[in-house]
Amino acid sequence: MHHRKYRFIIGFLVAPLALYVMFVVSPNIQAVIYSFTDWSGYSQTQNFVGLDNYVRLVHDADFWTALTHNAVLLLVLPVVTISLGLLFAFLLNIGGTRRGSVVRGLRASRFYSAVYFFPYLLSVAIIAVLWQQAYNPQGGLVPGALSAVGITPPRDGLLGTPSLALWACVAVAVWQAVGFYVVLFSAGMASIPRDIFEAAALDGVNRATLLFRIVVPLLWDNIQVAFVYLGIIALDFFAIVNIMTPHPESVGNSTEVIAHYLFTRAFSGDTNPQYGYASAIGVALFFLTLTLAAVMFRASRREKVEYA
Amino acid sequence: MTVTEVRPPVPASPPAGPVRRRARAGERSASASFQVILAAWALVSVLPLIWAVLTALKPNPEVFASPWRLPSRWSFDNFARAWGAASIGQFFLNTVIVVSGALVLTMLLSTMVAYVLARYSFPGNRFIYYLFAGGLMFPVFLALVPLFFVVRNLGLLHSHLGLILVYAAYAMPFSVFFLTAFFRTLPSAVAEAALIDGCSHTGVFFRVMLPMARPGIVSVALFNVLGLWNQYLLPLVLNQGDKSTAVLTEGLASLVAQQGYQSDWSALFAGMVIAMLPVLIVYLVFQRRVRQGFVAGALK
Amino acid sequence: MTTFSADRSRRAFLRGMLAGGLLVVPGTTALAGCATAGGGTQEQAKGTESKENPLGIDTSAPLELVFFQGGLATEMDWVQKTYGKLYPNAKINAASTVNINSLQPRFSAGQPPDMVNDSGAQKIPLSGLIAGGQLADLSPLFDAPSLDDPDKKVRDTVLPDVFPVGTFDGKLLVFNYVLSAYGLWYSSSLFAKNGWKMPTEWSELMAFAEEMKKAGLSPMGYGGVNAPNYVTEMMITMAGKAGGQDVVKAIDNFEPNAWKQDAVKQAAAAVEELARKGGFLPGSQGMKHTEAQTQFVQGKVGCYPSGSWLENEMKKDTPAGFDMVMAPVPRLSSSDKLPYEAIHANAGEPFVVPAKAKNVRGGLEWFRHMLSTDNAKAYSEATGSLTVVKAANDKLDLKSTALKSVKDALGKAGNNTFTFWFMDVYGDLKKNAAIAAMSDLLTGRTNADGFITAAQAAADKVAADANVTKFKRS
Repeated sequence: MHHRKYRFIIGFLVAPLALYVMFVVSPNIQAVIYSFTDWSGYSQTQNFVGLDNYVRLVHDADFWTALTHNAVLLLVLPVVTISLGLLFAFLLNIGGTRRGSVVRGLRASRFYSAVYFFPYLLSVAIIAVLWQQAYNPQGGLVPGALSAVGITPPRDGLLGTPSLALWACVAVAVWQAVGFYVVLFSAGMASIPRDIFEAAALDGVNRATLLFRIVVPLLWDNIQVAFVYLGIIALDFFAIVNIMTPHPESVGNSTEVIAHYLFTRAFSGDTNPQYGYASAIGVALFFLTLTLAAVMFRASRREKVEYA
Repeated sequence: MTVTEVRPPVPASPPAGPVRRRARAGERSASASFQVILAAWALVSVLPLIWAVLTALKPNPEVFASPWRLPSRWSFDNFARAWGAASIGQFFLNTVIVVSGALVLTMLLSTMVAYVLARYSFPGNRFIYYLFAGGLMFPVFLALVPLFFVVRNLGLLHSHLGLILVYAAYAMPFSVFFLTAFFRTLPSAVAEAALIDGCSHTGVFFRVMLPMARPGIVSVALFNVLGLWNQYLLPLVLNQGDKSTAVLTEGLASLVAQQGYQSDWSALFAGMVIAMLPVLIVYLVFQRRVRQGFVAGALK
Repeated sequence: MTTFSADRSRRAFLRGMLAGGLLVVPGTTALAGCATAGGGTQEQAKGTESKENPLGIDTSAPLELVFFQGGLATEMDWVQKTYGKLYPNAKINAASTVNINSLQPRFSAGQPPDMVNDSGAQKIPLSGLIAGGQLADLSPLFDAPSLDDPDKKVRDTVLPDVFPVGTFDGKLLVFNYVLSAYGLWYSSSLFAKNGWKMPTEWSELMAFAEEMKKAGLSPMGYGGVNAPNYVTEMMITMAGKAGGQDVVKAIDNFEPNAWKQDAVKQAAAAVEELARKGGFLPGSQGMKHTEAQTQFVQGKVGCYPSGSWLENEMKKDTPAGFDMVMAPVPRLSSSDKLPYEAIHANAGEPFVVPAKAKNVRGGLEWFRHMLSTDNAKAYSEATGSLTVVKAANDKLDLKSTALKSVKDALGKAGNNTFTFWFMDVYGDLKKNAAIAAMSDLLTGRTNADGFITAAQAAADKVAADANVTKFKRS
């Protein structure tokens, strides 16, 4: 019996592991090795330089700037996206509650969730190009809309003003992601037993209380999943930044993120290529993500214990 | 699970007097303001897309003249230029081949791994699980150059097979991670009964567990379709401008990059519309099932 | 069939995969010493030298060319024709990409193409290729007889501008094909209509700026998102005109306090003045260069600092009768060392032959064909750019106002042309001085003093950075 089991396990694991190790794990291990060398990416020789690249990293102001921005994104992107997602899902599914009646969603909610989902389907590259044009200070959609509602758009454009550029990028990411979370949370809300809402309605609970005291705790698992998805986006954030502000230094480095900084050091046509150093940046990014994942894992475990 | 099919309202016995009337008026204005919020976001969601379509139909000099004005001449030739510049026809076919191949492969392999990791305890289980989960955190850039060497040494550069294998491998961390979570949630009674009935482990997997895991598999597959369809970095390095195997994203990227040197704005917008349309059309046709599918796995 | 044997075959398969893919990967094996990044040098194709084949190419060796698919996008069919005619057995494989950088792994694997047009935003930094010893020495090409006249060496058919910008540490490694000139661009028809004339001194330009504003135009524009360095180019050119060539050479060579020379300070102050007085198109900082240029060709911007590729880049947006022309940038004052006619000009658009290419000789021979008078002329006609081939430029029938104005400006400048390379060769200096500090200056986030301090700090940092190979220019 056991023999059969192990044969089965090995049989199932061999092919997937081979493919994965070959194309994903081994290149990454090699990149880690490069991070201990001074290889430029083009040089014929590479010397082992120990921890030099990592020491340099610690003293690299650009790296810390980028790291700070990733940290900000890690907080803002999930919070804003999840808040909007929850709000819209709540309004679509529960918000139409009449006091003293049973909960029901607003009319046309099917239409809305279908429309909200559109941006999620498009590739980040397309979206970034589209919004880069939409932010064009001369004739772009966004400055036009701002003027139309009486707000003077910033003189240097949203992508040319250091205090706004990163938020302009965040807005694009939020715009794309919200629809997915509306659908996710709607599904979660649909699975909440109706009698909970009925009881709440009978108690005369208002909407805010309903949302924060009842719906959010019940959807806590979904919200955690959302945090993980969005956290991954926040820690990468390469495509949007690279297309919208290919030179973050033109806005006082205000949009530099780690993935873009890595790209600049490894591949950019403008800088002196330093593949070894870029690899060290990548390794740092990996451990950062790992730490984050571990923290979230611990947090979610504690959560479960509390509710158990 | 559906978003909109809510239970029919139970008629409530109305409270009496002026209190009721005031409450109703409040309800009505609240309801109206909610409608406004929801409609506003709907507008925000589609406006840029409508703007892109409109702009794609403008003659070049009008692109940045005024975002709201209709084109003076409906310039469908923009699409012809974009189509030619990005060799859309050939690239579309390549994309379909590569994405479908990679999808089948990655789903097959990922469900196998995930199933074993979720349902069997054996030495190394956690290690393998974390090996895959860790893949979610590797920055793809890091691996690009070494990956090129691996693919080259296998003689698989500029080939559909090479792209399929690499795409599949890079889709595995996500797929394994979520499918493992999904398989863990499935009840074990049925599988145990099947085993006792003399069904082999492999048989249990294919005949019992896979059908039970369908919602999760569909969900992960949908994510993979989107992710693979939009994959850009991997083909860029592994195809190296070889038109015979290039995929759509490469065509679009070169169209975008060329705007830096030719400023054919309306063709750029036309190219974006061409790239968006297939996905949006498929979505509109199957929209409810797609949305349900996406979240089914995440909900478990 | 037993599961056991199936497993064994799987294991054998895995072993095969490992041997084929994993273990032979460079970099993992011999790191301690000086492992070659690539798979070593390839056998180079070689044939017999003859009068028709002075470089001794293997006449049947295939030739792989990679072009940059940008503003000058062309795979030079005319050159393919003459090359193919001379060597009918050589298969030419030409490809174009916007992302030349995607060739990086091929360089490190030691399997680069035979000729690369290394250009565009995603080019491979030349400094990396040069420092990595990846480029073939081009001197055999320039010492070979030219295609047109066997008694004349290639060296004597090209403008001397080719040599200083292509020579690194004494070796000629980069072939710049296009003759580029830089200046202030304007619409001659628009200027004629308003009775305007391009000023020759900065103070006049400032007065003229007010006039343009009254006519509803922004005096100048630029693309801050990706190309504020166009303004840096204008500024350094003005400094060079004011203080002479040595001013810009000092910057290129990281001489101490090079950015604090008076001429540079004055030029920075001039840019500050124009920016402070609202001389730049509002929103420029939030635009890409092509977006700003679109405003220019739509007549909303009076002058635009750029190089001679501008007309071709904006071909699809420029209305008929715009008649784009280029003028030298104004002098800072009448006491400038160089005359008004002095301009920034150089040989640009880099072409290289990788040292480890299979067919290095073929790559050089390809260049020899590019440099024939007829082929260079065909290039100019297709792309609207002058080349470094003297005879071709003379034979050119100039239909475009832009090309004609560039040729005139070069003629009037005579020996008073100069160039600089710090933005092309030293990425971090471009990043921190030409883009970052200049953006701050243009948007009023800093003043001229602040710009100079930041630029000097950036230069000092690169000068002290052991990871950056420095080249001395003459």
